[in-house]
Amino acid sequence: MHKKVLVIAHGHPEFNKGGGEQAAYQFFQECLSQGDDAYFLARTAISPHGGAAFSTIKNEREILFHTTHDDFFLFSNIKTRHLWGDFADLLTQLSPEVIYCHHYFLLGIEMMKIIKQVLPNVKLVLTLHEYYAICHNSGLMVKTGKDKKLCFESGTRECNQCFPDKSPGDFFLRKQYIQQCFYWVDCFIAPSAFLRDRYIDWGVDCAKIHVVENGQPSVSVIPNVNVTDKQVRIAYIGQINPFKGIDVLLDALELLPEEAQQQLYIDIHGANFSSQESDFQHKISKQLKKLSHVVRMHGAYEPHELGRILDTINWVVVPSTWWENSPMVIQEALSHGKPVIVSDIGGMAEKIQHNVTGLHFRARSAVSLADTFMAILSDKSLQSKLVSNITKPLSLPESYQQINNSISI
Amino acid sequence: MSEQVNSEPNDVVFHVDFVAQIDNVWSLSGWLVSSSTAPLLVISEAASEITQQKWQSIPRPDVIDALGLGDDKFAVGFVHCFVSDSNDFQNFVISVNGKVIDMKSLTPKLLNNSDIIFAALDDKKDVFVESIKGFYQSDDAVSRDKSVKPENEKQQINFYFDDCLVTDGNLLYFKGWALTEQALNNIVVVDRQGQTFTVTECFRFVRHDLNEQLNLTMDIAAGFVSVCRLPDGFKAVTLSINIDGFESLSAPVSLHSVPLSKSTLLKTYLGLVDVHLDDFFSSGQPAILRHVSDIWQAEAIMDGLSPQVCEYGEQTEQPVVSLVIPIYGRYDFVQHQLLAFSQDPDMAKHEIIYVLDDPKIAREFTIACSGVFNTFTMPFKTVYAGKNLGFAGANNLGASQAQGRFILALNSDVLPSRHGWLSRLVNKYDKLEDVGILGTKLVYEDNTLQHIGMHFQQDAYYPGIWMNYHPHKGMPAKLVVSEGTKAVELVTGACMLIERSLYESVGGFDTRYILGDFEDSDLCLKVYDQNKKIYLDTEESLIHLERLSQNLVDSGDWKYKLTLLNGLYQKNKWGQAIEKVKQHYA
Repeated sequence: MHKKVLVIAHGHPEFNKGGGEQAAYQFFQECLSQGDDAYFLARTAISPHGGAAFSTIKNEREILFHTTHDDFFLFSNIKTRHLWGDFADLLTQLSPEVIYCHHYFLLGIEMMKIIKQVLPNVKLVLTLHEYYAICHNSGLMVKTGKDKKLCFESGTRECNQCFPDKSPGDFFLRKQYIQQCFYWVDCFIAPSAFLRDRYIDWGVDCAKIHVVENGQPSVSVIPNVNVTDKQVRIAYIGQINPFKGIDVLLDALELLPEEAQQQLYIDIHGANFSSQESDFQHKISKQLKKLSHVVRMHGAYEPHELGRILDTINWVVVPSTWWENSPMVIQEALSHGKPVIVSDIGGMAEKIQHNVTGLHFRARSAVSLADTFMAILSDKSLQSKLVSNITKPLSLPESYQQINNSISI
Repeated sequence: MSEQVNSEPNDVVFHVDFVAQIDNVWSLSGWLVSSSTAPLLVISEAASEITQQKWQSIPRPDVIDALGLGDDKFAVGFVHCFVSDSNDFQNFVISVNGKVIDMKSLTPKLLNNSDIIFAALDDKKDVFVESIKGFYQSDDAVSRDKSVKPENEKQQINFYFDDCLVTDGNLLYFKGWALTEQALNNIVVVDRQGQTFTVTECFRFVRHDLNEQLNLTMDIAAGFVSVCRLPDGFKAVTLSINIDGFESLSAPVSLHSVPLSKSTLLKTYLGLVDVHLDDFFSSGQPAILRHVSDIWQAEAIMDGLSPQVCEYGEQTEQPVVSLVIPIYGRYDFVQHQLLAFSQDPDMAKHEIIYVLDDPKIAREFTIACSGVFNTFTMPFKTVYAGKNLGFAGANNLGASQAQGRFILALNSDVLPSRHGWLSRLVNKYDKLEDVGILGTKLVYEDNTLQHIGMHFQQDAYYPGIWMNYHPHKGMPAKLVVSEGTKAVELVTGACMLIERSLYESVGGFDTRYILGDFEDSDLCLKVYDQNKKIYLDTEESLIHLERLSQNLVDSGDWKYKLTLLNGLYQKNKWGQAIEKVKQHYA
């Protein structure tokens, strides 16, 4: 094929370890492996040389874009010449045939318009990693109140309830603006069917949005760890923030009778705990202290360590209190042949089949999660039964192929 | 108590409210704070002692409250009387408990007699006045300004000017109080050459603070205020309010070094006006209308403008419609509108003119315009007068730059909903009989009605004027049966299509309405006056996020008063014409 492609992300994994950044970077690497003349453009907050818009990292194919929004409500970036000047120039110089955008956040939603203005014939693919266009609350589709209730659909009046400073009219303008910028996208990729449905409800043409899972690098799976009568090892892997449900996990553990607690080992491999709000940190730290005989806190991990972490455990738990899209950790767990205990909502419920590749518990319910723990302790054979059902998730080459099929390449 | 207090070592705070000098007898009143329950207050001259002096303390609980003093601090009011041949208050040396007060820190109001000063003594007044009788050269002098006067001498009136100044070039503004019920309508200013100019009569109002201090009944309107534009080049030095049989109330006219903005002055002025008084519509209104119109100075608003016009992209030659869109406060609407317009191929036939009417956002606006143009490549132009012109002025300025056969006066928070809307409106306009203005249905973002025509209506909250009423506002648009294009009483200024020649022949919007209220109904009345009609199209429907832009002008009491005054102006201007229009549609 040897086509020229550009992959755009809102961050470079060198600086930002989020799932979206990693998925974009792995996709870029896959393009190179497939023989594409591929470039990676990642937005960064670090300072450039003397006010330049771009710099490179690692090699000349990995370009950093030093820019940011001037309007976080609209994801708009028009006041500087970064998009309509510098980025347009870069597009002219590169003139790729296909552009795979993995975000517009921090880059500017008008990027879509500039791309089509400079390169009218380019194929423009946008992968959606969460619900930013739909929800002003960090794209979570969770209400802003104290209870952080799950939100099922956006609306000008409803969104105004979450953000009283913004009028219903402002939310109308926001939606119009984003939808009109989405007009220039040829094809949307949704890593989960759940996310696809949300965007169709919101107004994206269902013919233009396709479900393609983020591809996984191939790994060799070590035989399943024995589940002894003594201990069941469960890992929580990922960021620690109020929407990841670590409090639900710890509450559930506290509910367990002592003899059940003694049979469990919970390993928490989590990043960004120290940058959370102090109330949250305080609550979690207190619980961790109480549960020190059950829970071990490991701190952040590097992607290459994941295999070793997963090889030593029996289960992965993903107790998020928001919908999620397609959490990286679920795909990684399945890659390594581990069953996953998940909240029964959104992308989590979609990616794990209850009693087949893992177990569902009622989202946000510590009681339900505690019951689930009791179930896996009382039936130790359950784990290996589920492990045998796990099939390999979509590989990177397969994902690459499916995305290109959806734009007829 | 708004003046700065003087703080000395040992924490003496000393404040003088009033000073009066009658011959060689000085009296002053004020308050002081010290750590002594019985402070010692002594006044001397630079070189010598003053032997004849006497003072009386009076309780000042208000000072104690206002300053929130601790247990070790004591506040007392005082009236002090002394004899000196000196004519300059600043030459005296005042000490409290031996601490010398910095005279420059004192800013007393100078009175022309001592009545008000002695009034502060309340029930101690008679005893005190009796005790200082000896200060006066003759026995009856203490009461001479009140009673014993030669037959030909005019009576005096107690008065005080808080402000008497010229700002904004030639705007005379004065405010104060006078203890008289005589009309203050013979007012002149004099320049250095002795030329005079007659000033608009005063509006009288109740000064609650004064009435309280002087124990006057609360209905006495001692306050006065007036505003008046002076002839160009007239340098007023003195202002006199003349009342038959009395001495004039005079004050020097000072130039305000930092010009007050029109809206600051308007707010200050309207703060003095109580529109809820029963007699407001009869008594206060004529003076107030003249004052407010002089502050706003609508006649001069468009004078000598040299607007900056900035073109973005290649402009449409011979446009059909010139969209004129004023920008005030929020400029992000430009981004939303131009993105929407850029998607509609029909818009290439028309021209878009943004009128920046808000100097505060000039820089951001220019940056945003450049970004929006470079991003969405929709041609438009901007016009900027360098100052705030108000809704009417901004539209008229935009129209003066227009090339189209039509003007579309459009609000910045109106967004199209279907492509080709503007040409369809033009086609309809051309087919209507005696058409003057064509408006259109407007809905909020949730598809409820914002506008489907307007009519004049009375409103208990705005008594005595015609308000522009929006029927069916807020109703789901589908519930309100409407079809085609029909003649209506009025349409909103948020979206008005009018032939440019007609717009120009009636002089566009009337700039005398202050900060926007009735310009649209006024333009409709102008069109009726030309025997043309107002139409509303209900097939097109634009989205109007009403009040997203207007709310930026702060709301509140003074805005309510302005609406009332604008309404009064409209009613006075059009009189029976409004009733005639109403009858036609009855």
